[in-house]
Amino acid sequence: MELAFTDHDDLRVIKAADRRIDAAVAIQFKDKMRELTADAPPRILLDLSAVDFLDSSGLGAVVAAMKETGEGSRLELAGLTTKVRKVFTLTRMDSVFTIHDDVASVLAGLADAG
Amino acid sequence: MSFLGKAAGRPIPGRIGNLPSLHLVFPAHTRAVRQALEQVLGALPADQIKDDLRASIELVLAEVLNNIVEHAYGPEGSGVIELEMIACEGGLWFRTLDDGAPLPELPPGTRPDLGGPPAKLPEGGFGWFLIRDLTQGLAYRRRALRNELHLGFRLDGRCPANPFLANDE
Repeated sequence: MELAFTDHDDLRVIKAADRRIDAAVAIQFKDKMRELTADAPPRILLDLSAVDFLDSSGLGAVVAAMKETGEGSRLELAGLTTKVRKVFTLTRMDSVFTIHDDVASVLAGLADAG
Repeated sequence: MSFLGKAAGRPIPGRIGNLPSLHLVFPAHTRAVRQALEQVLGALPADQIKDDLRASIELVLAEVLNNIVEHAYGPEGSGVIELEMIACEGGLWFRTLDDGAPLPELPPGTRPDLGGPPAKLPEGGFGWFLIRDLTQGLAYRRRALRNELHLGFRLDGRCPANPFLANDE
């Protein structure tokens, strides 16, 4: 499970490189996310633009990651592909997470604010 | 993990052209499940089965097969899963077979409630909801110590009849 991050001031962008976040890798995803958010950056953006497929295990892992970021940290999502977005919509999780079209628009927002 | 065996497709005449039937046998591990899903999607031509339906099929089968890996056989168990696909009048049906623990009853699959504080958001319970929501036919039976789950997807206006119940061998 490949997750790489870049920091932009208070924003940490974590990019999921695996094409599938499913039962085969859900636990590794959770563990890796925990590592990458342990120092509690105030705002975390999970870039899912390379992820083609996510099942209920993957969804549960993303929810777990969100719950683990804890007080003072926000986990947001970006770049949901069609099949991934479908899972969030069906389960109504799209009303729980802040979902951006892409990382670029979030970074542009930072630049405007700064 | 390599597949233990696979029947060659034979064309089924009818409304969906010559979609082959499929019969896969594979070990109950998540990696083998991924391979099985690839095989199924490879057998569903994009010009005959729309993207949204392909996505539903992939998701439902992932949920069902991973449930078998996790619950039927459990953490200490190992076993084999059979997956069959039959295209028929107005529908596409799948059957999974496993020798794992029985399902006491089909879970209701109610959509988990997301109200309440973020710290209490559910991380599970979505699988059966997705299975029920995305299929138009669902049946379970236990025969000769095997679990059988039947999943139907409608291809046109009609509700497809379950071919796995048609001839009781």
